[in-house]
Amino acid sequence: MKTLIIGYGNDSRNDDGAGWFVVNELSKLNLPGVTLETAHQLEVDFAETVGDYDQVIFVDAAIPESVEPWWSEEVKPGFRSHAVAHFMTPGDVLGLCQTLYGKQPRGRMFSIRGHDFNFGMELSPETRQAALEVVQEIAALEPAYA
Amino acid sequence: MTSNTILINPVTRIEGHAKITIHLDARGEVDDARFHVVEFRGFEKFCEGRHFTEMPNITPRTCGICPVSHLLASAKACDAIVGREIPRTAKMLRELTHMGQIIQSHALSFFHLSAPDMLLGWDSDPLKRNIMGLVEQQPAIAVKGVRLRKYGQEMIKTVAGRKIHPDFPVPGGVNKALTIEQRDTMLAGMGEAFEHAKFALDLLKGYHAANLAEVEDFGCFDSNYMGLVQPDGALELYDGNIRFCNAKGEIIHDQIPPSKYLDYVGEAVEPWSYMKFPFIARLGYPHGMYRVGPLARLNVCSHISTPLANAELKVWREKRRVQSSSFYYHWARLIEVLYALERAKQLLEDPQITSTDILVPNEPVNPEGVGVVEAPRGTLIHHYWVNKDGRMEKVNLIVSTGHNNLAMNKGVQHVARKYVKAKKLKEGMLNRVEAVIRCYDPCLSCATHAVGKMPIVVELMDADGTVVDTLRK
Repeated sequence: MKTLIIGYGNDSRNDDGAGWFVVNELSKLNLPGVTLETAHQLEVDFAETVGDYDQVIFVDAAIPESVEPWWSEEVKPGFRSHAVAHFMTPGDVLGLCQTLYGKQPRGRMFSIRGHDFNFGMELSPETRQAALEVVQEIAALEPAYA
Repeated sequence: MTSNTILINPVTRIEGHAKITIHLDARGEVDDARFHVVEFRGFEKFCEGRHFTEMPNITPRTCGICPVSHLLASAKACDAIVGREIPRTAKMLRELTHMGQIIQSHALSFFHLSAPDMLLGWDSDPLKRNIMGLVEQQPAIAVKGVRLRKYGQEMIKTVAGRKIHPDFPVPGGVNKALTIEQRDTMLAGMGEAFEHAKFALDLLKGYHAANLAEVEDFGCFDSNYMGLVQPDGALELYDGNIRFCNAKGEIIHDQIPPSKYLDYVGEAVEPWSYMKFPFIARLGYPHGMYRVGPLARLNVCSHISTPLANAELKVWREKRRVQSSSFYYHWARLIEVLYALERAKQLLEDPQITSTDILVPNEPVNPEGVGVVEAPRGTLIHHYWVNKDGRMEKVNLIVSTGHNNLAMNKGVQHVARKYVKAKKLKEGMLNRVEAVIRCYDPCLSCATHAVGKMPIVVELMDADGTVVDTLRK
């Protein structure tokens, strides 16, 4: 079982870097069969990359109005076009992979509520706590998939 | 929409947000058309007071699309403040990063933004005339686009450390050497990248031949052109001096050192846009309108220094020395991809590319510095003034889309007059107006940073030109 974990967001905007934080923490655990990536946004290149994996885990920050500190959900492939061409959703990436390469890795999205999106590279205490919980959750998930 | 104005807002498939207004006369014919930019950034202002060594980290944040271009222009401006020549290997590594940027940006522009218009048809369903429609109908072509762009992106990541906002070029050089393994990996993938680039060129030339009348007239108008060239007049994207030529290809100014650009370029403002309107100072405003970017670069250069791209340049020029149709931007872009691949190969095969002599000390010795590169969309100028401690006192940025501002308005007017008839309004017509803007592949996020001199006036005008309402800021 090969797993790709993509933490994405703008790491120069405090809590928007939650995905980067999670990936950085996971890198300390040396999880077997896991490849870690960070990105500012999901781009079309990922459509090919994800095809090399059995499952893909996306980690991103969520808006402050979110109800839960963090949550996860399955990502269904479903590519659609956007007005701005350099932005894709996890569903877009999996959908494009399926259409272009005929591969269907499983997808799961972890969303972490952000509180502070001002300039800076530190997570707020609330988001940091939630991100650490996501790290534990993902680390616990891995053996189950192996 | 009023009875006198057709509004297209937002313009789709460009980077950033803008609107176009088309003004009709009493008979319902197009009287005028304008390309409005309403974003505001303010980078030039908030950089004041920062230490000059921070600028290569700050200014690329202007843009997540081509941050490498800002990074390199900024680093070059800082080199000028340092006042020392950077090591040859550092220069080669910077240029290699730039070639990756050219490849990925041009590949995205062609395959994902413009190809849907060409391959699916101007008048096809707008809900399908996009990358999604292309993926569904022409998946093999979409895969080539993904692969070519990925090659450029991986080149940036390999050389500079990350795809977006790398911190690799620093004043005085670069902070990371290239390993032999990294070099060999990039060379190994080059053959496939060449194949995709040639495929795209053939595809575009086929479309061109099949739609000759329309593409030759598409956003076609006379203008001047500006771009960097090598000492012998060859195309240059990373370094070199500035050349201006007119609509006939006659040279207006040549071999202008980048540090002297202010002697040749004036900047005007208009109340209906946040974008500046640069012009050739000697010709005045607005007659000094010029275009930059792929079309302009191939119009100003005497030749291309690499064999495959130079052969394609000769084909590009078969009908005439200078191309005026905005559609030729697409073709020029793909020739530049070929050049970028050839140039990257030259750099990677240079024995010094893996040298570790990559940095010189970076204390400020000069009060100002100018850095210029040819970004994917055109000439990018960073100009910094510093105090004796190296703190920024003033910043001037002229970005590619800003240079093209006058020309884009001209192009919109040309297409609107030809294709928009108020009483026979079809989506395909409106898309052509948008498409002429897309020829320039504008990046509006970069182009809107002037501060303190942009009064915004909104005017509602009737067919007689009478202002019936005004909003002022």
